Amino acid sequence: MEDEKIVQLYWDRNESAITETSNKYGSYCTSIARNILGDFEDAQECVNDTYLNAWNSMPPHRPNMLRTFLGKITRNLSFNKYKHSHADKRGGGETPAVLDELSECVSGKENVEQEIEYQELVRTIDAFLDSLPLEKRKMFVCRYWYNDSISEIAKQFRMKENAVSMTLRRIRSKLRQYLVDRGYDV
Amino acid sequence: MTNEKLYEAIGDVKEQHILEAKQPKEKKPYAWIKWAALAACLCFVISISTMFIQIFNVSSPSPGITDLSSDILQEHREDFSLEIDPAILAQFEQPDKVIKAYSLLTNSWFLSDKINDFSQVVTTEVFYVRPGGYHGEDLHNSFTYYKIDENGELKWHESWVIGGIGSGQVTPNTFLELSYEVIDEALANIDYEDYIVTHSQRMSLVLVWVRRSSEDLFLAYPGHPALTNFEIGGIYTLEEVQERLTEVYNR
Repeated sequence: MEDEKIVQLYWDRNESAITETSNKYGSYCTSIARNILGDFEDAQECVNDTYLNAWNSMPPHRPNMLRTFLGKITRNLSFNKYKHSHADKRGGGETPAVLDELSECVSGKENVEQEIEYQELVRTIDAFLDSLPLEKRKMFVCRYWYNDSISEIAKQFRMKENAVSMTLRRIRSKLRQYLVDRGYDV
Repeated sequence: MTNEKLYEAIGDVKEQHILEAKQPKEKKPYAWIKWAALAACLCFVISISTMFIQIFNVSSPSPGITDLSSDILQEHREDFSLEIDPAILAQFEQPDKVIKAYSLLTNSWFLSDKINDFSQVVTTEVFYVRPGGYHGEDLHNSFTYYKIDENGELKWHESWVIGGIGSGQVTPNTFLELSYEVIDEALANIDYEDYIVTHSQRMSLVLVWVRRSSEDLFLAYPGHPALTNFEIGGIYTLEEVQERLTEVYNR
């Protein structure tokens, strides 16, 4: 079913919206959640919560791209669940490695005096991504948005795993410099 | 900043970035196209001695005018803008390197005494130009033209690799090493409203049309300064542009 029609089902408060969403985007959302959490059951729980969240958001929302709208919800819910679980040191899929890698871009210290405007940070990251060549940008998003494993990325981009790791390392280093140049206290 | 905060912010990047990451890699164009493009450029280099004649050949206009009394010479300043549709920019790997260029009329428009506004000789045919060859390689000695098809998608038009005559040549010339930063820098001391990049493929000449409330000015980036009588980075009035081209035409 077309996205517009699915969105309309939500707006009409028609419960088949959930079934149609699950048919079309169930596996997409599940793969995002599983990459973050590393556990199928936890992932499934987050995907179900995604549908509930979507049901509560539409209306008033009418997303332009249902795929990324759902993906973002799943990612947020899964990451929140990860943080909760991580306190107990369990699970995590690719997330510990992904966070560890992102630590190279930041200091890990919150500077209260220089509190970063979240939206501004998002815009800066968007601008950074725009400045990257397409393939590098895609690799970055696969790793740090989708939490894809290095081997999955290597497969997708037909590269050796070492080369993927090396490329990502260079992008991270570039991102750190990009943030520093723009006044972020990383 | 914490890694978690950075991770969360990455989660809110543009939808386009999220979508494109999972799109399959664009198929590589056939290698023969690249070689054909290179061969075409080689022909260009060999035929440089005949270029002078070609530049001012009035027998094959496309697009252009053959009759200078034609009413094609209408003012239409409002048809041109520097802005590039974000949907077009998004199709380029390095959007910040893309230049939007309007084609100039071919042939001997500069001989007409009916030109008092440069918009009369600029067509609405738009090219998008980026550095690099067909595959984006050779960033410093090549550039590639695209047009937009009826679906709003990029359509490769032509790639130029400057060998021989380009090596050791002062840059920027035409689109080689030319960027909006270079143009902004060249215009730093001029008051202007906006500027439009115009281009004559036949004359291998980029004329940046600097639009002003008073007299418009023209910043030139000729591919072949000696042949077209313009200095690289030279700034001219419309009258001076016409005079220079007329002088070359009459040689």
